Amino acid sequence: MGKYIAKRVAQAIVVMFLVTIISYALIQIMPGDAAVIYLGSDAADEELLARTRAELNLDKPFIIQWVLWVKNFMLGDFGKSFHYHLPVKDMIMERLGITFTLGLFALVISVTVGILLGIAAATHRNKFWDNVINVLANIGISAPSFWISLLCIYIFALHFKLLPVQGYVPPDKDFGDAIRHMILPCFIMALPSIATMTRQTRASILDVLNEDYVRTARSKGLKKNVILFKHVLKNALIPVLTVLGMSIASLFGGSVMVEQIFNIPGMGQMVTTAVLNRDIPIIQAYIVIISLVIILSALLVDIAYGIVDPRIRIAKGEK
Amino acid sequence: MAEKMNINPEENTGNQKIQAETTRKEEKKIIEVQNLKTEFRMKRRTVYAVNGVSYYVKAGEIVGVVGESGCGKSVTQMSSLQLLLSPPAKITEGRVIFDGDKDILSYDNDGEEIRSLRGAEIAMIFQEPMTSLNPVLTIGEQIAESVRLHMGLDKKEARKRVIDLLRLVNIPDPESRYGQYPHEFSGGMCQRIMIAMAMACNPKLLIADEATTALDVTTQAQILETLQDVVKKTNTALIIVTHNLGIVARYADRIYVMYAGRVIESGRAEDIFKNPQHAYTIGLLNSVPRLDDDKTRTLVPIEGMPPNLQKVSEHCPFLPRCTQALPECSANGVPVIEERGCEHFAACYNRNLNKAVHASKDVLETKTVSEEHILEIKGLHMGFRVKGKNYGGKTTLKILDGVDLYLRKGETLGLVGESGCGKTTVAKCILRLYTPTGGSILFKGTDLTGLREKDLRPCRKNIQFIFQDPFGSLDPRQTIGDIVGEPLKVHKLVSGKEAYNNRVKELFEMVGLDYAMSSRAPHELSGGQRQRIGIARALASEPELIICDEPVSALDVSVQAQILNLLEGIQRKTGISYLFIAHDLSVVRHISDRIAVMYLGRIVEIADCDQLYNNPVHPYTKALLSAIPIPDPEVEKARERIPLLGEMPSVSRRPEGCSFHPRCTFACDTCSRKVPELVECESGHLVACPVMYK
Repeated sequence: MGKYIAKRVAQAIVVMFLVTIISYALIQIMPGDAAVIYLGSDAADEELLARTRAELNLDKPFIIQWVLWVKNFMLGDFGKSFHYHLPVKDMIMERLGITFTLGLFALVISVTVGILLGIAAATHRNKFWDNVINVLANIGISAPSFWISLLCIYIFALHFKLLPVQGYVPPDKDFGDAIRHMILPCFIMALPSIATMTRQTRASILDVLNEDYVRTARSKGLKKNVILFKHVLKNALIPVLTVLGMSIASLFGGSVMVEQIFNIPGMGQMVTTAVLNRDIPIIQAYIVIISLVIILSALLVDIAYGIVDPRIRIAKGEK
Repeated sequence: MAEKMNINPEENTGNQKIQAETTRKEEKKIIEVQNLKTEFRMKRRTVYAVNGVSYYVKAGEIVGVVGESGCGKSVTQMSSLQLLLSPPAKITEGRVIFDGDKDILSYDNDGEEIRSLRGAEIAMIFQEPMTSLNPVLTIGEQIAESVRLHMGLDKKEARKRVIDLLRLVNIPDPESRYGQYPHEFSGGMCQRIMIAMAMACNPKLLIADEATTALDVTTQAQILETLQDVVKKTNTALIIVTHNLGIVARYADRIYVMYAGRVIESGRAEDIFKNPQHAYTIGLLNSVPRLDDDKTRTLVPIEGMPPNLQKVSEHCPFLPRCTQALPECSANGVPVIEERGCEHFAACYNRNLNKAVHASKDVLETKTVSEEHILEIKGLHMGFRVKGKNYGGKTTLKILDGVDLYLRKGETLGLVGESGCGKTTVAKCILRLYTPTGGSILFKGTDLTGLREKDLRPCRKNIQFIFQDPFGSLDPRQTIGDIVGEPLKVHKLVSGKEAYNNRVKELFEMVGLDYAMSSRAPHELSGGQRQRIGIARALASEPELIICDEPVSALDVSVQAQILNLLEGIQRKTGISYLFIAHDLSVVRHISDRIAVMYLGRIVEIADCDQLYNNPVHPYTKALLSAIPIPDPEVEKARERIPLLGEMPSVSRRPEGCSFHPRCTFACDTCSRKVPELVECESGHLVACPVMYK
């Protein structure tokens, strides 16, 4: 197992390295001089422009720029925002917490609800509940989430007045209110992953139910639930894990829009503004952090494979 | 049978718990199935898989159920335990009386009552041991859960019992293997684990559904010996479901022959084999190759196919294939099963069946074998570079370790050995699908090993291949006519459309297929027909050598005989040479002129067919021959059985010296030091065993 994990970690480091090169290259690819964007109307001052260039290391060769940037990044210095002229780190940190809280809740919802619905659909195959769940899952995958958001806001917030329309309350301020504010955005972020998880869980349970070892389990006289949860589910979850890994990436992608709609001061909202303002340091920091999260979650999924499937654990690790 | 029940108390101190405290009444019927009918209701059609089957099994009895695939053998067994998934399966009629009083078909599907029987009173062993075990649970846990459920033992007691059980089925070092997963075991070991699982709660009835079909003959013998041993010790009833007549002849007390979802004959094993009372039984016996056959015996296949059972037949279901039918067979309905002797029943109108099992070949049609060596293999080595245990380190896995063979023009050389011994690797080297790492392969004087791809092409035309799996080896998107004709185009053997069509037609006729079928796709054909297509394709380029890699092992016995006869007929007509690879020594005997026995990448014995069977010298050859059951209970009783110890090791752990010595009962000191060379012990008989022949 140790060797298996070491190999995955090494791969993750390589990917991370490539991500930093690409995201730093943004500064070169973007049209216009970064120092000019930074200074705005002050760029007319030649001396100031030169000083800013030196400050931003723009006068050095690309490789050196990149090395210095990575070094600063690892020391926690993400540079200064071009637009606000504030340290990116301070701007990002509190917003990062908000997005992560949302993302984590959405993830927990999509895993639990998705797997449970998948199990329910598979055990009621071709019966009423299976059909209902299938229709809902198809809607969840195909309906655009901004539309679902507006619909939900209308029904739950405006019509029934059960939940707030928008906004964000920190949990340490008023926990109950914080939860109420988070229900709708988290649910909407989770919706596409719930749908894919449900479909994947259902399909792989049905596959596994046809396996010979399920017949063996039945011939042992085990109860239906023991067969389902002990023999079937562990095997069926292996492909579900793959989908889960991909879901994490799309969850953070989804946060950009959901934060706009619900007016939540998270990373997604900040990065939207940053793109419009061409505020490169913020975009770079966002790319690197999100990539890190996605690579880490992929790593965790890989390790989870090893835990669930002994064939991977033993074949690829030390025995 | 009385002595089987009395277990000697001194013998079983170690396994006391497993050897049940059974003192059941002698002759008691453990299970009695009456008029069982099962059908599969699909969207557009209904398959009547079981049509009124009745049978019983007594305590301590071993009962064999035989028949071709698709005859409802397995479905019958699964029905009695309600293991079939419903829908589509539906049991429409019948009673299954288990242990005297209960009709277990009246129980709820998957309900409390039937579950308390499954695994506890009736246990099943399935065909595919590798897929029948859950890959993500340890084998110990898979056995233990049954023990905990039915015997109410706690975790610690269950573990102890599982270890005892594993020891009972000869799993070495059971304590440490308890926590291992199925993929860490070989197929044979997995099947032992399945047996341990089935025996876990001292069931009264054990059902082995094709339990050894996927295994090597040697492993099959080991497994069945274990089963027989355990069953007789504990007075358990055992049902062996198989298509292998040899197995039932060797192990079964009574036999049920099934055809088209019905029992068509039943009786004591000796009666069935000596005095068969149904045309189908006789047909089966005539089509099976036997190890003790005369070389001149012709296999008489049962032509045609078993019915597809989409409607219940009005007449005897065997009628369309029967060669001994009478006028009343087509005039009357399905024959009723009637008593023909003591415990002997049959459902056949013809009371005067021709039972001549040993038909002889037409001796006039002998084939000519010239002395010219068409193929000569010298010191063939083949290795694969594989990743070693450490990073970066690579080791060579030696698959072939110096193989010497020759093949004369017009003869058939059989190549036999357990799976993993390198038979197929030899074939792939000859075809240059693998490039050998050493040695030479001379085909008509040309060394194939050094040839470049371009120079190899003309040789490829002359060496063709027939594959094992007739289902996977034909392109599903081509018509069978195109498949057969493809070599003609590739090697530019015909000019013009007309010549092409004529040649394809000729090839279809050669393999006994109707040319009108040529526009069909492979999936529309049966296994036997597909194998014929494979043969026609191989023949298309008029090769001088065909390598047949287990060409009949995936086919039913009756079809097997058809294909073997076809291959022999083609050889007589065209003088082609065959390298015939198989693990079944009784099949090889029928078709081969000479036979080479392989073990772990080396040839251990090579001899003329008769020499090898009548006078095997190498201990491995002897053990292989002994492992194959002969479909004749009387012969079986008189046979000496040579047990083969353990399993063939992997090539990565090839033993020093003679690779066979750890499993050999005759091994001495020199065996573990020096690799024995092939020595001629009589004319044309070479053997690599200095102990048996100096």
